[in-house]
Amino acid sequence: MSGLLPFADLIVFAILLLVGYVAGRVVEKAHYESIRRREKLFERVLVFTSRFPPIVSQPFDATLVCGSVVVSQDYFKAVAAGLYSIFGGRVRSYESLLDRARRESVLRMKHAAMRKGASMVINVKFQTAQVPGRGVGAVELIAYGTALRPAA
Amino acid sequence: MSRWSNPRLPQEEVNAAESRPLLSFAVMVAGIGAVVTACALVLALFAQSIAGWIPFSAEQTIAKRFFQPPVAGAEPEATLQNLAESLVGPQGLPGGVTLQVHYDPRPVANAMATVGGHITIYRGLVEAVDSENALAMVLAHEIAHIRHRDPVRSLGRGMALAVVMSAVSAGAGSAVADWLVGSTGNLTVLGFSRAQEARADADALAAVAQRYGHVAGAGTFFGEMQRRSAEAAGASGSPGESVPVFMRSHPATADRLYRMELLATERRWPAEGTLTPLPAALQAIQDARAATAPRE
Repeated sequence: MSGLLPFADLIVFAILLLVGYVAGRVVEKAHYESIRRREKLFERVLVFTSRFPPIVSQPFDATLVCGSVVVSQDYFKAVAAGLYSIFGGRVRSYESLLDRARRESVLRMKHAAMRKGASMVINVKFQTAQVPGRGVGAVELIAYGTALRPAA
Repeated sequence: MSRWSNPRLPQEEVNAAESRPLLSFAVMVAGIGAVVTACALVLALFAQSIAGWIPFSAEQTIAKRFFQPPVAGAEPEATLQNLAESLVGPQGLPGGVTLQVHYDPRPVANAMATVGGHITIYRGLVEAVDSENALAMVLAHEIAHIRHRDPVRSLGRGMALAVVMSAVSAGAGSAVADWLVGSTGNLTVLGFSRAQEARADADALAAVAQRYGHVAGAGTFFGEMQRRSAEAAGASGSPGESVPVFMRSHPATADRLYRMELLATERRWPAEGTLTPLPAALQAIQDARAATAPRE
C-alpha cells in the first residue's frame, strides 16, 4: 500500500475522473429524459424569433418572460475539453452540456409564459454567460422574449 | 391560431453528437502519452550523452553524498586496488578519473561500478573465480565502465526520466529519483545499456591481454555464471531469485562469450597461456570458504 503513496496525486486524479464520468452520465441521461418529457408538455406554447406577432385579429397583452439555467460541467468533461484544446476539433463533451442548457432555458421561459396565460412568445433571444470557476466552470444560459396573452 | 405550430425540435444527435466519450478520451490520452514518452526518450538520450562532460570532481562530490563504502578488511581491498591499477595500463584514465576499489564481504557473486570511480567486488565473486585472470576480467570490465563515465551517464539518464515523470506526477517523479539514488544510500541500480556493456567487455579483454599477454581464463567467470543461472532456471522452471545477481545486472549470454572469443581471434590475442593464481589475500578468502563449507 505504501508503494502507491508516491502516486497519490495520480490516484486522486483517476478517482475524480471516474466519479465525474459516472455521475456526469447519470445526470445527463436523467436531464435529457426530463427535457423530452416537458418539451411535449409545453408544446402548445408557440415560440417565434420574429419581432412582430403573427397576423391575427385579436388584441394581445405583452409581457417579458425569461428562463434561465446554470449548468456545470463534470470533471471528466473538463479534462476531455482540456485534451480537445490540445488536439483541436469539436469540443464534444461541451456540446451536449450547452444543448441541454439551451433547451432547458426555453422550457423555463415557456413555463413562465404559460403561467401568465400566454399562448406564444415572440422575439425570443438567447444569451450565455460564463460563471467563473475552475476552467470553464459553469455556464449560464438565458432565453427571453415577449409573451403574448389574449387581451381580456 | 392553429395555423402555427412549433417546429420539431432538433434531436440530440444534431447539436450534441457525443457518441463515444470514452473512446475519444482514450485516443487523446494515448496521443499525449506517446508525445510524453518520445520527449522522455529524447531527453534521456540527450542527458546520457552530455553527462560524460560532467567533471570527474563534480561526480565525486555527487558520490560522496550517496555512496557508502562497505565496511571490510583493508587487506583484500588493497590487493584489489593494486590489481585494478595494474589493469588501467600505462596510458592511465582520462580527465582526472580515479579508481577506488572496495571489498564487500557479502556472499553474492557480483561486481559493480558506480559514480565517483567506486568499484565494489563482493566476496561471492572472489570465491567463484579460479584464477587472477578471471577476476581481472571482471575488474577490467568495471574499470571500462568508469573510464567511459557510464555510471554518471546512467545517473543523468535516470534524472532526466525523473524530471519528465515529475511533469506527469510530482510524487511519481520523486519516487523515480529516490529509487535511482537510493534512499538507502547506494547507487546500486544504475543499469547500463547493451552497447555500454559490449564496449566494457571489449575494453576489458584488451586490458587483460595487455596485462597477461594472453586471454586464457578471462571468460571463465562469465561461463561459470551462465552455467549457474542455467542450473537455476532448470531447477525452478524460470529464472527467479536463485539466478546469480551478476546475471541480473549484467546480461551475460552465450552471445557475449562468443563476441569476446571473436575479438580475441581478430586481435590475435593468444587464447592459451599460464593462469596466474590469485594473490595471497584473495586466496585466503577462498581457503576460508573451503574450510567452513567444503564443496561437494
